[in-house]
Amino acid sequence: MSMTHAPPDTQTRIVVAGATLEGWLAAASLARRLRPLGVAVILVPTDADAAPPPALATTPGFRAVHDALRLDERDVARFCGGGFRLGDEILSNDRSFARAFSPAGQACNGVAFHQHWLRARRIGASPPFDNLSVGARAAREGRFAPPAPDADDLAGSYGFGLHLDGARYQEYLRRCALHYGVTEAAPLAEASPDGDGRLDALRLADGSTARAALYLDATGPGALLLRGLAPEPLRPAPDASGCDRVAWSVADAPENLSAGVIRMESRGYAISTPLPGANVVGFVHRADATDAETAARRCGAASADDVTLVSFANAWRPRPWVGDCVAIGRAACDLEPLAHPLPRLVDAALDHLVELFPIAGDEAGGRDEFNRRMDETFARFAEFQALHHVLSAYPKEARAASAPLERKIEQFRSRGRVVLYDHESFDEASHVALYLGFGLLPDRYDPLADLTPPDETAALMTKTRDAVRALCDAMPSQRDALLRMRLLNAERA
Amino acid sequence: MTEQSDPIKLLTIVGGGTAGWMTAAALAKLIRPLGVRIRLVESDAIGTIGVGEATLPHIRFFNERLGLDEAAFMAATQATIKLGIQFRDWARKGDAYIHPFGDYGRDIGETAFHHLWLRAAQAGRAGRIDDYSLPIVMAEQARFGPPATDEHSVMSSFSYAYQMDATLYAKFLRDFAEANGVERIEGRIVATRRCPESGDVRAVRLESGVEVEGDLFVDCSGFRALLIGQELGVGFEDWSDVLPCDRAVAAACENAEDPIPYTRSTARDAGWQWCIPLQHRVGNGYVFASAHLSDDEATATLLAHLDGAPIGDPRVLRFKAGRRRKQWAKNVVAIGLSSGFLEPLESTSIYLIQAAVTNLVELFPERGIALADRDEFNRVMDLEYERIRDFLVLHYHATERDDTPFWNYVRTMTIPESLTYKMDLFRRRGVIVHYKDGLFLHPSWLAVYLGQRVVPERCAPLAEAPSDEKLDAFLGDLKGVIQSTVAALPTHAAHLRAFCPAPPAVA
Repeated sequence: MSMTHAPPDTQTRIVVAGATLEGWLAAASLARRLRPLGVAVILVPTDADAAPPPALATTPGFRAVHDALRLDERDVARFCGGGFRLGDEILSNDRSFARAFSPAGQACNGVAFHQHWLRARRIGASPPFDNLSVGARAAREGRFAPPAPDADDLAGSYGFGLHLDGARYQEYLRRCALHYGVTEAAPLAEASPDGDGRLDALRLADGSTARAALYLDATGPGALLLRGLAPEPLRPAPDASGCDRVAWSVADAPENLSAGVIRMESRGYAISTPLPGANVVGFVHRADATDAETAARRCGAASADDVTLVSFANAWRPRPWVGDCVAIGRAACDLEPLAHPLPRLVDAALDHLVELFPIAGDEAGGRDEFNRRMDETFARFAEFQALHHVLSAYPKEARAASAPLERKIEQFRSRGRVVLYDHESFDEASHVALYLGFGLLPDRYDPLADLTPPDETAALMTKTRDAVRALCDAMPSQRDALLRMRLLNAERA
Repeated sequence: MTEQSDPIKLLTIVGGGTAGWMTAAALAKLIRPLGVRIRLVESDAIGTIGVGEATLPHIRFFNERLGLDEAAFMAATQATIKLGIQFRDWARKGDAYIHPFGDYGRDIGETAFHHLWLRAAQAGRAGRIDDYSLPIVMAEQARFGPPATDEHSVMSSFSYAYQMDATLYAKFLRDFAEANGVERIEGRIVATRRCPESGDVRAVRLESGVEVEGDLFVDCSGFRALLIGQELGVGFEDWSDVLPCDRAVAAACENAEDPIPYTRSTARDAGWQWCIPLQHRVGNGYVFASAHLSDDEATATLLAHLDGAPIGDPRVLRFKAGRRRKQWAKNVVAIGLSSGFLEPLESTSIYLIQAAVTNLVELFPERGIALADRDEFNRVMDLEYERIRDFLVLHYHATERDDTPFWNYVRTMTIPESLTYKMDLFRRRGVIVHYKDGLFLHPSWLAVYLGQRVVPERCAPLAEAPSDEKLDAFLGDLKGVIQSTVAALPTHAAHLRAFCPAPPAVA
C-alpha cells in the first residue's frame, strides 16, 4: 500500500472568485466542512460578479447545507426576510395545481397511490390529485406547520424549503463565511492562465498575489476565471423553452406565503416567489420576441424602468472543472429560473467537491468524476424544467428533443410509470404531480390496481382527501405561523 | 370492475426449471387474480440445469412477496444461511476474502468508513477491514442471528441470502404455483404457430398434437431459447472475450462437517471452483475455459478437491457468457438462461430471473403489446446485465496471478471502458462510482476491490481529520461491538436445527 499522508498539501488554500451568492455559499460551506484539514478559504471579489437573484427558493434537501453550517432554518428565514416553502402553484391555460415536496396519498396493496387514483378516475371517484397531498393542499391554501417528525403517515409526508430574499441571504452567507474564517481579499486585478490550462495565481488590486491549490469560479454567468482556460463550449439545454431573459419586479407581499406561482403563458411564463414583505415576480421570455416594456407589464410592473432584466444562456458547461479551476453556480450552469436551479446545483457541486477534493495536488481523478456527475445533474435538472414547458405546450416552441425526456414522457403517458435516472434533483412524487397536474393522463393504469375492489379504491380516495383536509385545516396561515414562531414582527406583518 | 381495453387472458410459460417455476409462482400470486389463465408446458424427459444454488439477499423479498413461510421454504429446499461469498486464491495464491451482504463499519460525517480504515491500516493500526463487517465475522465464526430493524443496532448492518437446492426450490414453487391455479402441461414442444401479420407466437404444438395457445409467452426453455432464439431469431451478444469460462463440471459431495453460512469460490488454473454447503450435502463445481482445460482434466481437479465423499457422477455443462440482444421480442419474454448467461461467480442467475419477473409484473402488457412496455423492459434488463458483467469481470481482471495461460489472458485482456473508469477512480482515491439502480452497492465493490488488491493510493482528505487517538478508539469500539455481538449468537448449525431442519436426503 503506497498511501501518501498529505497534510501539507491538504492544509492548503482555496480561492473563491466572486463575492456572489454562490461564492459566499461555497466559501462558507467549504471553510466549515474542510476546517478539520486546516484549509484556508480566501474570497476574491471581481468586477464581473453577478448580482444575486432577487429571491431564492430552496428544496427540503437544502436543509443539509444549513445544518452543515450550524444554521437553524428558522434563523435563516428570519434574517433573510423569508418564510417556508411548501411548493409551487402552477397555472396553465385553464389548469391550476400545486407541485409540492409531498407525495399524494400512500401506496396501497403493493400498488402506487397514483395508480389507484388513475383507476378511481375511470370509475368516477377521484378528487383533484393535489387535494390528496398534504404539502400541495397546504401550499395552495397558504398554510404552514412543520411536518410531524418521524410520523410514517400523512402527517409526516411532506417537506419544506425556504423562500429567501436574495440580497439578504447573500449578506447572511457572507457573515457566516467570515465567522468560519473565510478571508475577503482585495478585488481581482487579473487572472492570467499559465498556458497549460491552469490558473496558478491571481493578481489582486492591491498588488498582491493569491495562490491556491484550487480556484472556484463563482463569478456568475460570465465565468471570468474559467473563460481564460479554454473550456468546452456551453451545452444548450436540449429541450429548452427558447426563453433567454427574465424581467424581475417587486410587488406587494401576497396573501399566500407558502407557494410560489408559475403561470405559463404563450410568450413565456411568470414566476413569483412570495416573501413576507414582498412578492418577487419574474417574467421569463425570449428577448427577440418580447420587448422589455411588454415583459415589464407581464410581471406586473408599470414600465421597463421598474424591472431588472437578466439574460441567461439556458446552457451549462459539460466540464465545469478545468485544470485547477472549478466553476460553480451560474458560472457552471446558467439555466432558466424555473424550479430554482441555483441553490440546488451549488449544493450538489459542493457535496461532490468535498468527496472529490484534490489529494496531494492530484486533481485529475476527482476532476473527471466531478465533471461526469455534474454534467448529469445539470442535464436532469434542465429536463425537469423542460417538462413544464413540454407538458403545458407553453411556450409553443417547447418540445421534447432529447431521448431521456422523451422516454420519461412516453412511459408516463403509456402506463403511468415514472422513469428516473441517476443524479435527479426531483423525486418520483414531484414528477407525478407535474404529469397529472398538466393533464398527461396515462393511456392505462397498473392492472394490479384492479385487484382492489372498486368501493375500496373509492374509499381510499375519500379517506385520503379527508385526512389531508383535516391536517391542512389544523394549520395556521403561514403569516400567522411566522408570527407565532416570532419569525416576523407584528408591525412588519 | 372496470376493465382496461384488451387484457391478456392466456399466458403460457415454456419450460419448467428454476426460471419457469419462479415465473409461474410469482405470476400466479400477482397476475392470475386479474383473470389471466397461466399454463406452464414442460417435459419430464428434458432435464433442467438448476441454474444456481446460491442466491443474493433479494430472494428474501421475492419469497416474502409470494407469502412463503421462511422455515418451510428452507426445510423444503435443504437451505442454509448465506452471509456472503468467500474468494480464495483470486488475486494471489493464498489470498482469501469474503464479499459480505452488509456494511463495513460506520461513516463519520461525510467520510466513508473505508477511508478512515485506509488511513489507519496504512499506519498499521487497523487490521483487516473484515473485522469491521458483522456478516464477515459471523460467517467466519459460523454463527447467525436474524437482522434487526432498529438502525441503531449493529445487527441492522447486514442482510442474508440462502444456499439452497435449486431443483427442490423449483419443486417447492411448483407446488405453490399449482396450488395457486397454474396449470402444468406435460409434453415436448415440436412446433410453433405464429400470426402471419404480426409475427406474434400464437401457440406451441406438443408431440401429442395438442396446441397450447397464449396471448403472451414466457420463454424459460433454457439455453435452447426455443421461442426467443430458435423461433423469433433474436441474436445473442457474445461476452466471452471478457468472460472466457464456457463450461462447468458439477458434482455433489457429502457434508464432512456442519455447513458453513457462506459460499466458497476458489480460483483454479483455468477458472474457479464453487462450494455451496446445503443441509444435506455440498454442491461443488468447477467453472472453466475449455480453451485452457479439457473436461477430463477439470473433472479430475474437481474430484480431487471435494471436502466429502462424492455423491453421484459429475456432469458437464456448456454455456457461453452473454445476453440475448432483446430480452422481450414480439409477445415473447425471455426469462432465465434463454435471456442470457453470466457465470454464477456472484450468484446472479436467480437474481436475474427475479429481476425479469418483477419487471414483467411492473410492465405487464395487454394484447397487442405496447412498444413502450417492451422497450422499457429491455432497457432495464440490459442495464442489469451490463452492470453485473462489469462486476464479474473485475474479479478476473484485477489479479496478480500469472501462473497459467488462463490467468495471463484475463489479467491482460481488454475490459469494458466503464470498468476501467471505475477501477481507476478507486485506485487513485478510493471513490466508488455510484448508480441509482445497480445491483451491487458500495460494500460489494469495496469488498472485491480490496480483496482483489485494488488498493487506493490515497484516502479521502477528510479521513485525515480525526486525531490518531480518536480514530483508534472509534475503530476499537466498532471491532469490539461486532465481536461481542457475534459471540452471543447461536451457531449457524444450531439455528438450522432449531428453525428449519430439513428431512434427511432421499438417495
